[in-house]
Amino acid sequence: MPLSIIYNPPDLNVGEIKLEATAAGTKIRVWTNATKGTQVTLPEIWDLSSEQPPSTSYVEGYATSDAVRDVTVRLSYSVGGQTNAQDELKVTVTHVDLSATDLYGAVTEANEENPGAYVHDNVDNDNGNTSLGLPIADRDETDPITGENDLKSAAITLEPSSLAVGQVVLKRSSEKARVWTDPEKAWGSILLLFVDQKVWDLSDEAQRTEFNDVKSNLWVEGYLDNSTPCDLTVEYHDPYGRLVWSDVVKYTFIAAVCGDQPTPAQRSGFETDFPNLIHCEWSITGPETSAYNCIAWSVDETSVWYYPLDIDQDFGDGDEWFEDSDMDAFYDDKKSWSLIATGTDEEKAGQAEAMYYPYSSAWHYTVDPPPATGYHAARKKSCSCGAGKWIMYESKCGATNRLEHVWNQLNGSVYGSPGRFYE
Amino acid sequence: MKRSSAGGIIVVWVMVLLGIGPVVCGSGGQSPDETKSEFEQRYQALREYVTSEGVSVRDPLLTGEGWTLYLRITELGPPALPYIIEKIEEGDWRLGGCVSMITKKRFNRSDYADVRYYGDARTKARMYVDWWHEGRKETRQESESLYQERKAVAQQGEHQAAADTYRKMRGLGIAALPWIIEKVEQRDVDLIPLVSGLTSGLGGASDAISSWASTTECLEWWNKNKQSWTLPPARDVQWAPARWAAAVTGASVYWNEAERAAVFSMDGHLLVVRPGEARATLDGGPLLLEGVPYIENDRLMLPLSALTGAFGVAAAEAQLAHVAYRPHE
Repeated sequence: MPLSIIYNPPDLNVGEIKLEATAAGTKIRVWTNATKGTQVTLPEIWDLSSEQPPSTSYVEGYATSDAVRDVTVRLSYSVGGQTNAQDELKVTVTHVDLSATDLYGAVTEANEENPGAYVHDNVDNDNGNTSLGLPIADRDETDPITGENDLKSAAITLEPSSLAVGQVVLKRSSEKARVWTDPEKAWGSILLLFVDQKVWDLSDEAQRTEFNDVKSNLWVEGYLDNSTPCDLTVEYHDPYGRLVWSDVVKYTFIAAVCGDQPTPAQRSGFETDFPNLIHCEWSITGPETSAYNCIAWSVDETSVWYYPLDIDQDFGDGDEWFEDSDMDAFYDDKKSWSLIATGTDEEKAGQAEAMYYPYSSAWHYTVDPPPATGYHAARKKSCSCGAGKWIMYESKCGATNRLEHVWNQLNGSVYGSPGRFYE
Repeated sequence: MKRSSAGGIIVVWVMVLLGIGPVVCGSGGQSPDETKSEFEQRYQALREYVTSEGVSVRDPLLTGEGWTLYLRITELGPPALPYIIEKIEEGDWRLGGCVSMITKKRFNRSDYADVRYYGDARTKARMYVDWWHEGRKETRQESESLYQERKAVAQQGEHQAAADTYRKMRGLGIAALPWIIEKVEQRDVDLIPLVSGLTSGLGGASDAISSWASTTECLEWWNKNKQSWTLPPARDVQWAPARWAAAVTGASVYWNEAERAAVFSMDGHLLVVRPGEARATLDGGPLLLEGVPYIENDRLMLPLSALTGAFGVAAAEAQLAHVAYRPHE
């Protein structure tokens, strides 16, 4: 904030000019130019017989005020120790902050713009509403959504909290973000939906009360895909309309959108079999069919069905034991893919073209039943779902549908876990 | 004494007087009807389980209960094959694995009409059906060809090629066992491990012969177990009582009690058929029959093709058309 030092006559060459903070001086700093330059350490005294004060200095808020106008800056002129004139300026150091949580927890200040916050594009159907049997995406409903769990909280902090002047503005850069004051989009909780910004005039008691009621209870909903992020910005403007402070959180809204969202029955069925599936992070990419199975899909085939017996006999060593090495031979034969040997499973999943969920042990299929879990495979899906946050795979699940899913969300008691990765 | 009438020809069957007892034809001493009944029970149990599972994210066969039921069908062994094939023909292609496990017949990539389907269970099931009806008839020739090929490459010291040929011989499956046994009888002991490999691993059919067995042990084992390991005929094989078949083909027949064999003769040719043996003897040489002759109601039943093939009765089908044997009349 510029601070002008003006005295008359301007060619005065006797006496001293003194700039000092007489109250709460630790909350500000004074600099020689707008980009700081040299700090002017208060109190600062200029002897007019030999020097002149700068016409403009710059005040930086250094610590937020505890109360409105709690900082006092005084400019005085004195000759021989006798103060002849003085002027005082009351300063309030304000601060406004927009904090956010996303799919991975609280977003730190340092990460608010890069990489920003990641929140679901709200394509799922938490309330199970359907139209002609097809699920209605929650994002397309403006009525309350019972069980809605994809909105993420955000909060505005304005200091000092007793500020009763100026305006707070919350605005979005596109319609991809919607802001509500209730996590289940209760009636009357719309904040940013039909408009791109919301302004609270703090000098108006009703608006100030409304702001204070909602500032810690904001809920951000992703409305469209992840092709470009959407900025959510909070600003504080002083009573003269000048922008004093702003804070931005960059939101990327992500969901599995290559396929269709499941019907309530499909969702119930798949999430029973695969309890690690998370709404919005999987979709149905292919119909129920027994034309092909998971192993076939993992090598891009849609008209064959491979049993362990066939893998052993036709691609492996044919010893009537189904072993992991038989799968290695299968992928080598089909795609010239090799087993990835190093890295964590997540690293391997990111690197691989396909992953295989092995049995816990070799299976002597002419004698014994198979081990309880295993014999599934999934194909890497090259898509933008997740905007780089997720490693996406696609699985044909038995004779049911084909799904796109995050690489480890089918892990569990049915298929086990992917243990062999091929590229 | 029983009488059987066929197109006005009176055939008197005297086996009871000759003291021939029943010969088992199925696994564990079961008759074909008993095998069929047992198969149907086990098959229905599997179907019920699969149906109860519905459309699932797991293949119901690849569960503990599903595969156990699947193995129970497989354990019926070769006698169940006609019924398994029938189910595959009706659309239950998943039973192809049972045929694979029982017969140990393997297809090469070059056997596929479209190599893109190599290893596909559905395609393999269809190929097993074709093999069952047609392909397996070539087993003897394929065995002989591979045998000669193996001898040739072995003599040239090409051990890998010899091993590959041996693997291909094994891939002919248990259909090759009668031929292999002939070679063992001719003292080719190298083939005894092949007998062992083809007859091991299946829970229900029979105990396997050791790879280290002597020729004598191997042959004794075969004579004791061959009924369990001989492929039954395809269900479209036409069966007939021996005397009736002889009458309509113009052959003569008598029962040689000492040899426990039916001896047919025609135009100076001699055909010897024994109950329980798929391999007959024609003029002293081997003749593989389409099915294993068996005793039913004190009569020797054999594939009609045994006589028509042996004696070159070209018009057999036409002749038989109006004197057809009707087993239930």
